[in-house]
Amino acid sequence: MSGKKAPNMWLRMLCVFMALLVAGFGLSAGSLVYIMLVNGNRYADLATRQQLTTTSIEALRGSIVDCNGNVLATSATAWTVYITPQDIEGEEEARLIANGLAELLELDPEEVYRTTQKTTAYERIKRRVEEPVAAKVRAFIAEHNLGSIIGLEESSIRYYPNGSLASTVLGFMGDDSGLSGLEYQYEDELKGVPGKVVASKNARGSDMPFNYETLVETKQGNTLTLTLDSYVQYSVEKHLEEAIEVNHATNRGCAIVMNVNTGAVLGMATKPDFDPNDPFTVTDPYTLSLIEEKAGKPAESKEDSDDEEQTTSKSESSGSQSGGTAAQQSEYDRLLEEARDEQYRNKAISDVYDPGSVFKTVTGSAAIEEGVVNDESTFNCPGYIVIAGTRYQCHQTSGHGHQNLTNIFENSCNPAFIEIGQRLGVQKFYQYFQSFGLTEKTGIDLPGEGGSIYHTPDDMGPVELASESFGQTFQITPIQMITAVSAVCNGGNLVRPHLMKSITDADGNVVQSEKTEVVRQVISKETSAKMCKMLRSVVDNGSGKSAYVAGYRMGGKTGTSQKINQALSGESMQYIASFCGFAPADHPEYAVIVMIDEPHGSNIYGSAVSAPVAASIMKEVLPYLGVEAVYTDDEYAELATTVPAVEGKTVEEATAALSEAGLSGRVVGEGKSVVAQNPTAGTAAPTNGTVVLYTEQDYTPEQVTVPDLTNLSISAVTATAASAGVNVEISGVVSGSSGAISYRQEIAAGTKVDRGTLVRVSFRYTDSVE
Amino acid sequence: MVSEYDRQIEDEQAKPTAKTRPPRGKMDLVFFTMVLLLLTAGLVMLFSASYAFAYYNYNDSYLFILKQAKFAVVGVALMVGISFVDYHWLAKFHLPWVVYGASVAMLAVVLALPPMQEGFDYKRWISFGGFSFQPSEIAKFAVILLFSYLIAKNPKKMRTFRYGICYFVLLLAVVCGLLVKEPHLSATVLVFCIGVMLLIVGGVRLHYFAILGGVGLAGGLVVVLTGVVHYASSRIQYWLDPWSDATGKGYQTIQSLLAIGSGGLWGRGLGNSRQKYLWVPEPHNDFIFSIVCEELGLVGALCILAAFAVLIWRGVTIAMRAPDRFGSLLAMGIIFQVGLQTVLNILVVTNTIPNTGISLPFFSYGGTSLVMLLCQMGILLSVSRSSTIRKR
Repeated sequence: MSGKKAPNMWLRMLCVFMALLVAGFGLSAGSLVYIMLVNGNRYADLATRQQLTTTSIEALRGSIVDCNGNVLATSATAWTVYITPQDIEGEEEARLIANGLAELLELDPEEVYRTTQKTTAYERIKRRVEEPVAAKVRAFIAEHNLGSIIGLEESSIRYYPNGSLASTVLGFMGDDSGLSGLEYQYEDELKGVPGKVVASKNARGSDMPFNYETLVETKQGNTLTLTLDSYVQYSVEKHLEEAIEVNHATNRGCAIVMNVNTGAVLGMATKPDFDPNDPFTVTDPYTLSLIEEKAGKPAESKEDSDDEEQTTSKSESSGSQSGGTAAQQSEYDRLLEEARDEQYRNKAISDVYDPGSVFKTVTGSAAIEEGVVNDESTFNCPGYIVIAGTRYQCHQTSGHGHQNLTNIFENSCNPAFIEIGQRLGVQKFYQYFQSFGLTEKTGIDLPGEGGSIYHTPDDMGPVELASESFGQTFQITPIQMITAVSAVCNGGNLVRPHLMKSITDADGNVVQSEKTEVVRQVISKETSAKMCKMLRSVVDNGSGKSAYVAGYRMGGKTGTSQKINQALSGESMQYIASFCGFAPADHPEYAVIVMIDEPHGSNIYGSAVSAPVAASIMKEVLPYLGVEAVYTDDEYAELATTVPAVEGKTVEEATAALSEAGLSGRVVGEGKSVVAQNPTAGTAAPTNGTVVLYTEQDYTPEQVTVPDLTNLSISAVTATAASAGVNVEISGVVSGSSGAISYRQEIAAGTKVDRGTLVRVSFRYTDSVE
Repeated sequence: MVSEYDRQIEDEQAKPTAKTRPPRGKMDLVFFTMVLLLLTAGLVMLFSASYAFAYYNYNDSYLFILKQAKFAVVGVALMVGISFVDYHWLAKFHLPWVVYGASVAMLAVVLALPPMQEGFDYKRWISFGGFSFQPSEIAKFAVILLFSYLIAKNPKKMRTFRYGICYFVLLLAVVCGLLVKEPHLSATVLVFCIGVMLLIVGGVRLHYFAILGGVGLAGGLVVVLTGVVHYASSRIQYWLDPWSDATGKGYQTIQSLLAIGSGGLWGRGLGNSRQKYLWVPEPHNDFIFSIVCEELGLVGALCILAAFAVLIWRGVTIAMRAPDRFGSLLAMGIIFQVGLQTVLNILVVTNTIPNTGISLPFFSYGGTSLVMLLCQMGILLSVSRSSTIRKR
């Protein structure tokens, strides 16, 4: 302590210090604690909110591929063009932007101009702008220095490379999500997780030059692999489309190919359908032709249909010339709109119909299983049957007479099945109706599955039972029918139909994969085997003949149902022609159903309309799927044909002659007529073989290499030979048993020969060895 | 007691006139260390706080730190140099009056000059030969020097109302009046408090302060009512609720609070402030402490606060140990200024008191004021050297 100063002063200094320390520093420290600990989180949140900008990055939607990895739907990067209207200065700039963007993006300049007049910060001009156009927009921005006004955001566009292929199954996309079909069903898997760039920004809004950026990675959508097979799908669609046109069906048609043991759907089509790349337009020519037929041709000078007044006045003034009256025009528009709403509908799962005689497979199975009929049962059909006062006519009015069980399937005899139904009784009948899955949805992984309409035991008297026994007065979906038939033929298991084979993430890890789901066993193996045999006989000998596919032992049942409800409401009677079958009948693997709604051809029966479609599909699909063909002697004889002489004929004549002989022609050269052919006339060639037709004098025969054709099955040999461009003559196969393997070929593998050259291949059976 | 007190005063009166210059003793090493510590921390934090601002505004992240570092080197050199000079030189040649007169003149001049920056309605700066400084900084020192000189010179009169109160209040009023005219409220408050503190320590009868306090309060009321400092009243409004004008008048306060709050207990780490990216306006100036809090957290902020406390404690110790009243009061005035400025700065950035421009010693950017601060630290060290001699 300094002796120089009074204690008074010393004390006062100490007091000042203490006051400063306690009051000043104490208060400061207290404030800091209060702000940083008590309110810290709140302030930190506020700070974070102002400092961070979050930019969302759209995740690329997962692809949909078929079972072989062929792309059915895929996404690619596209751009969204937007503007910041509030930053546009002056009329001139607004006009420049409006006209420039309108031209590049094919929009109405006036509309774009209206957008530029807004005072907002963000207005979307166009979505899904593809890269070439986006590049032009960027150039436009650079040229006029509009970087602060026009912007491009990354987004994506969905492509369906095969156009309308499987469109009703795949569905289509709305702005951001799937609106129907698998796109809708698997939305969560496909869409992925959008990423974020969280960047710190300074108070001026620009990113900091220092790296505080956090990237939340976009998680690309998962890839959906389908059980669907493009090859099968093409085949199904081709034949279905053809049948609809030929039979002039007016209410669309559908077909399904399904693995009977697993429930995997290999092909599913509804025709006419739409192009998911342009889902809001009716593009199907057949649909358009039907509308034209009903409403007359649309007015020639077709304005935008929403500009109705103008269109109307125009048609009025030039009505007689353009051929369409105003009324016609509006009717056309109405039908077009209706068609547009309808075209997404997957008939195969959404529409219910009276299955008709196809349902007899279920009635029959139930009866055999319950023992109310057996191999010895006989049925007498006088042409009709009377149940509780109601007379049911057989389609063969003269009656089928005495029939055994197989016969009643072959004949599709209604009175016999009514009798069987009565023997089962309401309770048993309903029990099987239920266990075949006809009262519940199949649970296929598609949206919009229709629910069936049926009588419950409470409101089912003998008359209702009679009608239901042959597949009328209740309605189910085609997918329910084919699932039930699959259970009939696969040993009795009701399996769940499905389309998803697997779901894999972007790194290829399998997230989900298909598994066969057996809902329940419906009938015994023995009953199933009996049914297979009888249904094969339907195709071999009965009403299903047109479904016959040589070598592939098809079984199945046709059906023609009347649309009674529609007829009751005063419209003319319409029919549904269907066929449901499976192959090979001795060991069923694949089932097919074809349903054509309201055919108007000369013959509207399932046997004539739908069965041939099923045959065409199976004939193409079964060899592709590796189902071994087993030919009977008769069938084998039909396999080979004699090459007709076509030299000197015109190309058209020659092609016609060849196709008559079951061969196809391959024209080489530009000439009008055939100067040479290979194989030459008179040689034996396999059916479906190719004859090369040379049309120019100085032809140089096309050289092909003979493939190795040994140690293969007959179908493999034909396929291999066909793809190599040579014809084969099969020798050594004598009977219809399976397992013939080629062991010798006349021309050695690797030899160069003219295209079309005949190679004799010898087969032998290996059954006994194994 | 009183007579003893007066006798001592008379003794001391003879001291400055003594011909023999006392040899220089050892300086207070703790104080010296604390100065260097705070200066270093200040420079580091200035660099951290300013580089984003400097980058965006001047495209040179090092602009502020390089300038400040140069001044710091000069300042430290001057501080050490001054510590060897006997502080009694300050009492010679009527230097206190000269400094006081000069500072009053400068305060008058600054009022006559046009505002330094377009758009600012206050006049605080004088540019001189490439340097710019605030006359208010000089005024603070002038008041400390003159008061210390006068109190030490006439210790007896201090107990009279006429001298002890009226005379000093008059001197203080001239400076404060000119500062209010700028207007520069924070400097006014600082000068007023320093003056009053020196009077208290200098031996003014405490009950006079009731009167002084009343006068001060009345003066303050008049000032507010007449609207001379019209901007102060709006400041109070935005002090109570800065969110009422979050993007305008409350902006700086809010940004400061967000920065401090973001710090939490341990802070974001040195250099990791986000609020310095132009969110906190001029983060290198008065609000540098909010960046300190954001980067170093509560722990770091309290450490710095503690360092200041140690510095002030040593400063007060030096004042207590000073060989004479003049040295004691000089040291007390200087260290009180540092302490008060520190406290007020922190209270402002934490929005505990209304926002007013007070810089944080050793931390805030400003070359001339740093040099002045370090020179004043040199004076304190000089006082400490004298007292160590005495002790032996």
